[in-house]
Amino acid sequence: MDGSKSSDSNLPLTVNDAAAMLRSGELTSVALTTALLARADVIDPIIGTYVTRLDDYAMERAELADHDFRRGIDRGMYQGVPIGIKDILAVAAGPTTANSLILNRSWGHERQGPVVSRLERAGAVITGKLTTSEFAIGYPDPGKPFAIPRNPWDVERSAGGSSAGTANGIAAGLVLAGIGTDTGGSIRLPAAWNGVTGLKPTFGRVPKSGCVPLAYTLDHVGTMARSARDCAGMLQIIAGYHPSDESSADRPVDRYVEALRPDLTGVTIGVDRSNHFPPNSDPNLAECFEAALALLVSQGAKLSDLTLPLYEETTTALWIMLSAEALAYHRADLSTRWGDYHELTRINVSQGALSSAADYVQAARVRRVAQHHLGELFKSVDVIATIPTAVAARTLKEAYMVRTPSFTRAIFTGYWNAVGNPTIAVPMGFNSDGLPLSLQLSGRPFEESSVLRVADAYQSVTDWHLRTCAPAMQHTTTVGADDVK
Amino acid sequence: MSSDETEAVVRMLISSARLTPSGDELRALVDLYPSHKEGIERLYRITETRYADPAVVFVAAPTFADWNE
Repeated sequence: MDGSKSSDSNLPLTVNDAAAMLRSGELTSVALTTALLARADVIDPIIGTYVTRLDDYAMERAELADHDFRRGIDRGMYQGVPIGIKDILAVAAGPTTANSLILNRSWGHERQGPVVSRLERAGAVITGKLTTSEFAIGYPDPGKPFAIPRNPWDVERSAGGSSAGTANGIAAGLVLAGIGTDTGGSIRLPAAWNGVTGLKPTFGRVPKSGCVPLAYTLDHVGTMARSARDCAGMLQIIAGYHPSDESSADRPVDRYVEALRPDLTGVTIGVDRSNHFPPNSDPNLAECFEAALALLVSQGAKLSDLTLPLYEETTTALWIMLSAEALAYHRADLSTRWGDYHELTRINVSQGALSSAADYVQAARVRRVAQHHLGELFKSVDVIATIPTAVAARTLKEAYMVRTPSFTRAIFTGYWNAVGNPTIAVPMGFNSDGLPLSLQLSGRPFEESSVLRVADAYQSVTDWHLRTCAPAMQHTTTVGADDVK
Repeated sequence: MSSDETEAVVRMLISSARLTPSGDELRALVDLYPSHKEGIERLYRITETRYADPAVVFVAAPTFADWNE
């Protein structure tokens, strides 16, 4: 490939590949960024990845990255790589909306927090702000002036939430990686439904200041990309203490990429099937899960059956605390601008009024007890394998009709927010409709290296994460708001 | 709790929070309240929480550092 030009079919799928091509001179950041923005010109109007594109800023950053390469300055794996930022993190180069009419646009104006600044210092090229569920909760409301994020594997289906734009943008090749946030599964559910990899780090591993809060004790900023290796590279950049976030952990950051290796000898993986396969599970799910486990065994891992402690109670505790904290943040606006909120946002947040302050504290005590029991389990296993969701991407109409209690019965992500452990969602196959299915791997607190190692080992012998959805996109004609509601 | 009592409780809680859902939205909240309440009661039945501290920490010397970089 000519370094100054870029053929769409020759573009790299992963950050790791892009990094190699940028260093070999096979590709320039300007060419790569230009090509992905051109791709977005065609695809973004269909799948609603972007809230705000920052084309001029991205090209400036790409030129700077290329200039640095020419001068022999190498800032690491993400230098010159186009990425996107979920639109609840402030980026100084553009507005922050939280996909909402409510958020005062002065919040975050010409400001940005440590995560975005660390990525910029690492040479990443931020191409824009990506679609989220309003304030990272609920589902898109077709009555509001924001794009409806669609699933590139089937544009009549949901991209999930809340980090929908980051997930569908990576899956459709509009960005190579991005930042998401996860309060009850908002990185891992869209990662699962769009067939990409998403890492929720340990609570406190990545500072969340500069991000619009959903629930202070449950919010996590994390990484999304096609591969665990790419997630590891991004985590290396954004992890680490920052004094602006009191929950930010002041402890050493591992060398995540260097810790990756395909041999899993000596690794014990706990497996919990008991809470994760409800009657409405996808018919292909159990088969894919067992096949994934068998592959991990073939790489040297040992399996050990277990049951996650206080599973139902801990997920209940999550929802009580999440809705209460969210209501505290939103109550003033909800009471005066009810109709300006998206329909499912206001219903979900209102549930915070149904619990008492004592219930909130009791939920926090349950989280502590669950942490203790889980810590005991992790004395005999290194990683725990489950699934993030029992169902593949729902149609937009189904997703819009979903109310939280029924929805949570098919979603298995929130437990890990309540206990805070690092957890990754990894593509593990497709169902009979050609929709992605996902494996979930969790580790001990601050042992992201363990979950990344197992995920990367799995991806070293599978190619689910490298499958592209271009054929589905090519069959797309036009879509409108009527498809949603 | 009867369905009328449930609706009365939910109306009171929502009203006390100064929220103004539509009739359908209030109905949705009333419908989910029994399972929500049962979930809460389950939390109090976990005997090990009797002397457990909550997973919430108050910091006496906060940094108040600006997040803008």
